[in-house]
Amino acid sequence: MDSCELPHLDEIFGVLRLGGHLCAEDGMHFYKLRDHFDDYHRLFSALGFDLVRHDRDFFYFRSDSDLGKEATEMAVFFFVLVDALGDEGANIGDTIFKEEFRVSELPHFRKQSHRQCMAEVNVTATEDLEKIVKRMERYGFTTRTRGDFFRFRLPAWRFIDLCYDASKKNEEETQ
Amino acid sequence: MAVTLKNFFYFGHKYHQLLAALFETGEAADAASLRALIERHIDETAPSMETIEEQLLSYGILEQTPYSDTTFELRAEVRDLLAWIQKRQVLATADVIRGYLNQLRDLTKELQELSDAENYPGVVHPLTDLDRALEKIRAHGLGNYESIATQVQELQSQHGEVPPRERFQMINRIWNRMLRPLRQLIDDRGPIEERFDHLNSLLKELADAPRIPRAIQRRASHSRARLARTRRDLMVSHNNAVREVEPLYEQLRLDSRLLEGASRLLKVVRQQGAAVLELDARMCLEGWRPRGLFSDDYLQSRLTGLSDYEPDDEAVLGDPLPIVTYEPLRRQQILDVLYDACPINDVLQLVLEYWSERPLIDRLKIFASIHRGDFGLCQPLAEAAEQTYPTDLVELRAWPMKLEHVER
Repeated sequence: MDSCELPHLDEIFGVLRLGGHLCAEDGMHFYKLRDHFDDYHRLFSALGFDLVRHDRDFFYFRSDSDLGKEATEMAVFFFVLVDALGDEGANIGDTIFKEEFRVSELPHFRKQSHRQCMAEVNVTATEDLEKIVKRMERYGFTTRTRGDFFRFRLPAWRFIDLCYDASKKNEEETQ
Repeated sequence: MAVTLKNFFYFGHKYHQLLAALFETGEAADAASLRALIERHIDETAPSMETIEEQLLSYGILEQTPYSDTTFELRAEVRDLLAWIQKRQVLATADVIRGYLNQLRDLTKELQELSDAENYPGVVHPLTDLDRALEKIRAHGLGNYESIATQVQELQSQHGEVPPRERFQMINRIWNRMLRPLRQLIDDRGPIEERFDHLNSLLKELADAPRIPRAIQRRASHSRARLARTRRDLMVSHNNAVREVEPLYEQLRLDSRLLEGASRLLKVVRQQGAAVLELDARMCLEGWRPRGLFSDDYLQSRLTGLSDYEPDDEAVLGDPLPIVTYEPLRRQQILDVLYDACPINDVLQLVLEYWSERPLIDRLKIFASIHRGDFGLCQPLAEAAEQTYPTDLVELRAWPMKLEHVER
């Protein structure tokens, strides 16, 4: 297909270029990207962008330069949330993607160890958590549902992958 | 007092809650704990605690532990009965089943020897033992499924009370210590199938061979039916148990890995800082910056640092050079010079020498106007080689151009 004929090219590029992640709940943009993945990949590659299709069926650009520090903050935020859910005995996988979270009730400052971790990424107050959630929204990892409630979207699997990698590494080291 | 069916089940009927509580305790109770337990589970119409305690012991429901006269535990048979009723049987491991398989092997061998010796009345006892062994295997299979289903339900209801790690350890034990080894045993080509096939062939022979007495044939036929049922129920029970466990096992396994990974990463963050994890490099997120802002953090911080910079005084370079001005040449002046010099074999040479006091740029402008044809036809000198023309500043290289006549 002629690259000029690729559907929703402007909008798709606009989202991905800003670090956004596209998944099924993004509707038409996602489906067009999925259906013409090879064409989009070829075009973006020529422009210097690496379009990635994750195993869990969402898309994003992988940057090789100009990396911000935002990934670290968001990742640590996620790790603390998972750890806190574990303390509560929740079914973590289910809870992450099926439950809504309220910014004002996030557990990130309840335990001393969690407060220490958040301080390492300069997050010490609920307002800072709000900023991180907004940032995650911008990248497509979360979405607002109502008021200060939000939920995770499929691209949050990128943070889960980091946890699995760490677990696998631990398994290999202890064998 | 000897235990009878009547007084045993009558006791069970009256004090079923006490029996359930004894089962739940799971471990031996000393005299004081036992009395407390009895007191909690009897009503005002009950006889004295001493009487109930005595009945528990005389009916064989409780017995002393081997290590102390004053601690008591449920008798194994009673525990098994209560476990069966409540579907919380102790899981039969692959080793337990293997024990029965060995028994089947021995019984099959015995039956074969008796059949070969045509000692048909002799097969009755081994057939009875065979039936019992088959029912045990079948009961263990069903018991495993019921117990596993109960444990899975308890685990599912425990989220919020028991951490995922612990729940995963419990389900992992069921999956890896019970179900997987059992699967290897009862697989299509596993030891159980092989043993059952052999036994089935022998029982078929005993059931069908005309030389064998009809009573024995019927007996063998019944055992063969029991074998078929055991075979079927064992597989069904095992598959049902796997279906109960597998989804929860997978979910808890992933949860456990997720939690373990997050915990390890947080440990590194606390001990060594977040930068060590290189999460920005691993996530490779496209930068999000509005246009016009510096994208280079180093450059930005450098420029910020320069905001209070006070430069040193400028270095003095010396007095300025005098400015020499030339009166511009008129076309007629150039024309007169060229007219007197024609024919000219090297126009550039002439220009550079005649107007040598002028700046090079002026001389090149004069040459350019001549070269352009402003004063007549200017063309390359035939068969002339490239020449060099040294000046004060630079050395020029060009092909000589001739001017044969000028037009006034």
